[in-house]
Amino acid sequence: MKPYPPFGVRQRDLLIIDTGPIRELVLFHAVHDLGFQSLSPQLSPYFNGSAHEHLSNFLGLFRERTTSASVVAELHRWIRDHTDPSGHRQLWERIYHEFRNMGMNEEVIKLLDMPIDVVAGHGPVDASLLELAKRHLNRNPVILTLDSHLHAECLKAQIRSDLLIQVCHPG
Amino acid sequence: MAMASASKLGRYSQRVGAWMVSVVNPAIDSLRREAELLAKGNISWRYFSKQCEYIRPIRQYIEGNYRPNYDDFLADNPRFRKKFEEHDSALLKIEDAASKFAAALLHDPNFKFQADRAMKEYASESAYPLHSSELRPPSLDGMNPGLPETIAEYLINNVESLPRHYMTYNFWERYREHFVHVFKPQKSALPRAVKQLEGISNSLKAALERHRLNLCRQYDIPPVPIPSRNPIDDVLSHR
Repeated sequence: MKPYPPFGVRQRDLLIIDTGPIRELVLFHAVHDLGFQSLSPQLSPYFNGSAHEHLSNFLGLFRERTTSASVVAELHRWIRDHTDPSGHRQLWERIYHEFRNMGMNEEVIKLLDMPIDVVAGHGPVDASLLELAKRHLNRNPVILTLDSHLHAECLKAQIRSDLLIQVCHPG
Repeated sequence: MAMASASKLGRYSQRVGAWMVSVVNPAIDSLRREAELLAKGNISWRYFSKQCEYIRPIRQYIEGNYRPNYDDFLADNPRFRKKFEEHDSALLKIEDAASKFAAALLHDPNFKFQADRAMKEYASESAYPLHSSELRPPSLDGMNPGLPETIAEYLINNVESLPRHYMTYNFWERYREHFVHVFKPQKSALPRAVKQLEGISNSLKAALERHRLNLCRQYDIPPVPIPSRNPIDDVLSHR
């Protein structure tokens, strides 16, 4: 039996994942493995095989990965409004597969627990992720997003945030 | 020679062009992906659904809004109906063989013992890594499906290496060789079913490629339409 590979990389504790990175991950497999060519215009141009590998390595650095139930609702809206109904089942199977394999946790943030200013300004999804980060401040959470508005809001609230494009193209 | 071929050229058919773009090309591309997976022995079978995720019945390779074109293609090219059914039935056999292999493995006392032992060993090392600088491998408690089912899935799919972000990445890096050595599905019906689908899939791909070439010649259409520079050309050519 082989020993664990030496990584020489410091482990981080908690990653909070926004809708965008999950959608890119699912789109990547939908286009390249399921052959859903009509979805390829929705996949970010920078999200190629190497970007996928960088993202996978980055996600692997964290002891725990979590998201909010609002993100799952947003994934549903994306699938319902922007994909062909004949492929819905396969896209959800892929989301289940990713959640299951990365051990994704999911937390519910109630509307009444979120500041109305943030909900009105950024929507309930971004607000739920910010609230999630505040609840886990003692674990140095990082929010992964491709939304520059949420990224800016995180910096303002002194919450660490990484943009997907930076993770996919480090250096 | 060129003049003789040119004189045999048929008329452009929008209907055949639609078959090409929405049925024949996606089917060929999907069979190409299938061939790559099958050559690696990775059938992308999932314990959760008991189905192959990336290898599907031919109809499912065609996007939903183009399925009427698929039915239209089969109406005028009936020999492919039988070939597609042959493919889909071979796929069902693989899924059945994989499910039976997984069920047998999960009932095998030796497999249960080995999976349990590996899990306990992993859990103790995951709780206490050798060096503080090392990444602490994630706990596999509460996996759904459980670890034995997941190991069965990896064995069925001949998984060599997992993406880094999978919870089981470290576990599989460490225990893969052992489980493959002892429990590889060599003697089950699975490898035969995989070989059978591989043969059917390759011959179907070749038949579709030949048919595509014939249609291109017969109807004077390219396998993939080239966008015209002037939209008026399109209007005129479809009159």
